[in-house]
Amino acid sequence: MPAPQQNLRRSLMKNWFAVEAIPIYVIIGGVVVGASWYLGRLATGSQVVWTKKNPTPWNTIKQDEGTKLLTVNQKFEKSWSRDTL
Amino acid sequence: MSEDLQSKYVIQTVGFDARFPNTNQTRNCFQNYTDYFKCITAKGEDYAPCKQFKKAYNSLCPNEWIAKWDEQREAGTFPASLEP
Repeated sequence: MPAPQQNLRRSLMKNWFAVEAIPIYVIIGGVVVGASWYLGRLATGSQVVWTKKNPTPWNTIKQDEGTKLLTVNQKFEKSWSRDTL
Repeated sequence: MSEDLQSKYVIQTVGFDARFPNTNQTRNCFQNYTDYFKCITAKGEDYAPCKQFKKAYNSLCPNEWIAKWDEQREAGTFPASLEP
């Protein structure tokens, strides 16, 4: 006869997440990932100044680099990326 | 008559600057204003390529801002450093 503690542990392992709620977990997980990706993208944008060592990050953009996510009727050869915080 | 006028006035504006690709050109205006005065300090008033910054900020910036910043420079209260 398993001890009461083992019974408790086994039932906890079986029930620790609700199987029927998996679609909710998937959707919420996707939303969290998407939001944090976009927040990271905003934070590393060229118009954001983080440290005094890099007071003008936009000055590192070359003329053929683009910073936009989507463009209409515009073509940039490369996309800019922030080299230092 | 119109040919004379056309030869006197070249209609031109600031070219595309990849650092400021969006509709909000405020920073473009301010950057050119500070760059002009840094250029003047570094190279002297007669250095011709500095004129490009002057033309740019005169095209981009509202005249009220240019007047306000000129006053601030006279008074020594201009908010950015104009050291090259």
